[in-house]
Amino acid sequence: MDFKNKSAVITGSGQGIGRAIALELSRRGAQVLVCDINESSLNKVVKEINLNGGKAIGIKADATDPNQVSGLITKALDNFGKIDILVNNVGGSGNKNANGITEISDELWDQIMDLNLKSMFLCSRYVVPHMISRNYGKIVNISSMAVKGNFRVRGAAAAIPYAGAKAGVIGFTAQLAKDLGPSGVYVNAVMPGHILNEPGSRMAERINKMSDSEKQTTIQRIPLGRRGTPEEVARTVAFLASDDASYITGTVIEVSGGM
Amino acid sequence: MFGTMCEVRLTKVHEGLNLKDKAVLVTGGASGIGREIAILMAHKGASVAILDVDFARAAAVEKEIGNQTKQSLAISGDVSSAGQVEIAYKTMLSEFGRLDILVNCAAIGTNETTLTTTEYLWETIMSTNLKGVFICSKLAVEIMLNQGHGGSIINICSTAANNARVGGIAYSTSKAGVVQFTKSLALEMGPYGIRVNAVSPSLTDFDHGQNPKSTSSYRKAFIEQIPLGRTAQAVEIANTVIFLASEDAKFITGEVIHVDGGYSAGKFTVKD
Repeated sequence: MDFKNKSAVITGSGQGIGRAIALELSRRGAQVLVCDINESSLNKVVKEINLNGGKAIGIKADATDPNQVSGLITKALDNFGKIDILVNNVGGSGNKNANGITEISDELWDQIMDLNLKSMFLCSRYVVPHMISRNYGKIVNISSMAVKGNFRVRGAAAAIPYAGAKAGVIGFTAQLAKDLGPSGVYVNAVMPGHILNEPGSRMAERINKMSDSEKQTTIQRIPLGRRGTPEEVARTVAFLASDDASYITGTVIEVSGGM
Repeated sequence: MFGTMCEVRLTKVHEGLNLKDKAVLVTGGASGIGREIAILMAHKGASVAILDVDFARAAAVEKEIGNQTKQSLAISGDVSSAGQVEIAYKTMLSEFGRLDILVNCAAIGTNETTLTTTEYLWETIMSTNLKGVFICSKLAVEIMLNQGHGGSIINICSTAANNARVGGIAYSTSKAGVVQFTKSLALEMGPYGIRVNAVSPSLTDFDHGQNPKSTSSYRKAFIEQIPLGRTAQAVEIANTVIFLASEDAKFITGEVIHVDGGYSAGKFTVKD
């Protein structure tokens, strides 16, 4: 139990990769705060963890709203007394099908920047003073292989702002890591490639909508010949959040099957 | 610091990082980072072969691992000699019966500029640091393909691959080659379930002391550029190698993980 006595906040953990991270950290002994904008899905994750003997609390919050994020971090501290790990997982490419740059409205651009970047900034801003005061903290940000422009998110999605925002995650990670290194606070990022999430999740639905040839093309570009699982991403997040990664900060790990 | 790290190493329990029933070859495993990798992998349950030009020191590591009732085997050989590497694999296979993981750690450093680097020195560096990785990987991949159950190769690279330094011309070039070798071999071997990754350390201390090759002024200048404000301990590099070798990293290939205290994240700090 390498996360015994650790507490973690995972944003966007009601489904998909965030959910897998919450489950993995909990399985390894951490108490976790499950945070999502969707109350019913976050309740399911909290229940799943507590039924399996873990300790989880759930808080519904919009991670792009400063007041809600401030409240979220306060509640985490009230419940756990400390925050050792923050996983900035919340994000996404929106629910509008806007693939070309001329199809992207100002509102859509702002919405995707807020969801992926501002949420990470806000959560970090409210957690960092606490971590500095304890001289300990692990922040893991979720970027995406979309940064490299080498995969277009199909279905309801806006690939261009998404790629831009996820690239922003990398710069944010490097700068914050450099600022906080002397304070014992570590900041890293994980770049997932094509990940097959659980049925019903956004990515699972998108993959469902692909034609067979599209599915084939996607997989052909992955040297390991398959999509990854949310658990595989979660284990890399756990590695970075663990004390095994005691000399790793400001870096990015791709979990992409080699694409 | 080192004592704390050892504690981390010995108390760490996470089944995902178990290497039970795995057979590993660590090149350059007689000293420094390689030695730490060999010892830690044995501790995680692997059978470990240590290939090194310095047989006496390799044998000492074998003995150290044996004292912990773990299986290991010291082999004498030069990674830049295909003949010697072939014999090393035969010896290892006859002892362990399999090869699951190769760690290419053997390397030599230099402190010469272009004008002072002789052709002989250039070739020596390239032979060990780059050709050695090619030879050991090529033979490993042949064995792994025959076995048919995948495998994992981890190359010990260096932050020198991406960061030039006066005096590092041959070393940096060789390590940059290792990065691209890693990515290329990962592409070739992905379909066969053989994962190929690298770990890039910055200045690392080992063997219960400071890195013997670093002068105090070099150390001071280096540490000033590291956000974590200290050098690495070899076990911290080894921990990342274990992660890459383990089931926890089974969707990671073609990747280079920087274990550098934030060195690559940015190096120029204005002190107020």
